[in-house]
Amino acid sequence: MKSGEEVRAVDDMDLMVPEGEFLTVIGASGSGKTTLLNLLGGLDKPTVGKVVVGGVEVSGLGEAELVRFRREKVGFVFQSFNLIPTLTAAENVEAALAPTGMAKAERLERSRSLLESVGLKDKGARLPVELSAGEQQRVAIARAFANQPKVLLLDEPTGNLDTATGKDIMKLCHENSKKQGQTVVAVTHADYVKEFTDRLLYMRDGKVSSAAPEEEL
Amino acid sequence: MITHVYALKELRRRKYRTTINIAGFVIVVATLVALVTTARGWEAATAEPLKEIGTDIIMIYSAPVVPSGTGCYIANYLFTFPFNQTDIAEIAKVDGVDHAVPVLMHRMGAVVFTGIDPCETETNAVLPSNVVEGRYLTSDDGAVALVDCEYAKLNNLTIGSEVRYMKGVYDVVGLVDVDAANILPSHIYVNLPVCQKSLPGDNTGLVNLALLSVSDPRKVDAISEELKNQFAGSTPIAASDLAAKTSDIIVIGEETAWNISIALAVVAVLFTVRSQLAAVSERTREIGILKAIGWSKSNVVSQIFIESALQGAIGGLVGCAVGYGFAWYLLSNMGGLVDVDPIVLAAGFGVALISGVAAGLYPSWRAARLTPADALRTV
Repeated sequence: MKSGEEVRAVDDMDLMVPEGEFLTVIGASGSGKTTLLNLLGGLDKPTVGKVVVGGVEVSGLGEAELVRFRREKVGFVFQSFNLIPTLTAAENVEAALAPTGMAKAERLERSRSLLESVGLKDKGARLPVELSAGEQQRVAIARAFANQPKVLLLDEPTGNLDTATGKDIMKLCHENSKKQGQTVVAVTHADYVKEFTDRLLYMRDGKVSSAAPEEEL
Repeated sequence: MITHVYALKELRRRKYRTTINIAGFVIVVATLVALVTTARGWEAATAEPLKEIGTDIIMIYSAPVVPSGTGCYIANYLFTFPFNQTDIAEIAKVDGVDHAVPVLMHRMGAVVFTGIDPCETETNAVLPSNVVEGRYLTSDDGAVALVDCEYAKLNNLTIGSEVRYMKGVYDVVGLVDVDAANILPSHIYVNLPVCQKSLPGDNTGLVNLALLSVSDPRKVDAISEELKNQFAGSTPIAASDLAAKTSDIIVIGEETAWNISIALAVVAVLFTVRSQLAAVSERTREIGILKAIGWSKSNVVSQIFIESALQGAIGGLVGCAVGYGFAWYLLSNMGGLVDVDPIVLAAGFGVALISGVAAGLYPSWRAARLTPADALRTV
């Protein structure tokens, strides 16, 4: 993957993630982790090579199909939560359901039940600024699960959280994804994420390997 | 979609910018509504008294057409020259003219003396319905007169009194109250032949005013044009023209009101485009998030569109109220008629809404073009 003129953010990668697996990719900042997730989630396209998710070649999809793919097949959780600041917790979740054409009553019920599943039953009317960092990330998780995606992509989901809250969040993602049979790819540099993963890969300079780099060891 | 909820919240978040944008639309619509309502109200106020005497057009000659006879200032600086009474029949033949009625007016100092044909009871300088005491004139009357009731009060005139004008003495047979006297001021009315004989100079067969009623008031302008073409030197004056000619108040026409408002609307659109572009730029990351969670280009476009249109709609509603209030204030002080025309209000609202939508076009296109990954990389 070329980013700019010369930098290859993801380079010569041959990665296969089986359905239902919780894969964690650990790497330092700038190692290409986010680019890898952007490629898997259809936010970026590779300059060379292809990305196939659930039998669909994402890298070959047109604009309309990509929108549908992002809406129905993947759920994103970002490091900085990325909630819409003017919308309440419930509306943030509803924002992911709105483009599907789901009826308003159904959307409201679904966002309520999703918030309940992440432990925020009574906080649907709160604005992001009125929630703690952990609670904001829970809202982001509820939003990621909104359309029951096949693939969940976690981009440094614990990066802005303390260790205890981070572990709670990872546990929540792990339990929910296993319950729904989702494939999870999490990129992080938090060591404790290892506890929740089925497989661990290390990423450096755009390349992945199953062996930890020397400095990691 | 939750776009309208989101749009409202976004507008609230950017209070200062939203207020400026809405204020722009308010100015556009308020100007349109105020100017159009004021122009119409003033026109209606001017036309109303003339309608009371069955008149749509007053036709005068602004240049001499006959060598003798009596001309008259019918209003401040509006002088009419005498013309042949026989022309009245020709004027009545012009397409669209229903009635053409001869009038001879003469002014001496502050008093106006008017000769009328009392057989004309639908269109005339004074009608039987204007009589408040006594009787109307008949064609057989000689030295008798109708007197304006205000003038009668000032001069202690009653029915049976004698009123003098130049060398003539007339028995007062009726007192009249004519609203049109505000526009065509007159104090003493006599039979036309009596008037023609009593005035200085040879006025036989001459008049200096023709009062016209038309079959379709919407065609007043076209009929006026036709009269001007057929009768050289004539000046047909419609009610709205008379307002401009007889008053010192600058009356802005409806067309001018529209032109001013459209020019203001263009400025408001440009300001809102700039403002919405800044909003899109500030929200690049948000747009990236929405795209990442499955919003399509059209979803993003409608979001920005709704925000612009909402500002236009709010500005339109407030502008209608402000404009109408301003028109009401102006007309109340000018003595005009305040009339709420739903079409003007709808047009004002429509201009604001269309301007709002137009202002959202380019910013929403810019927002839709953003790729989610690039947008998310924005800090």
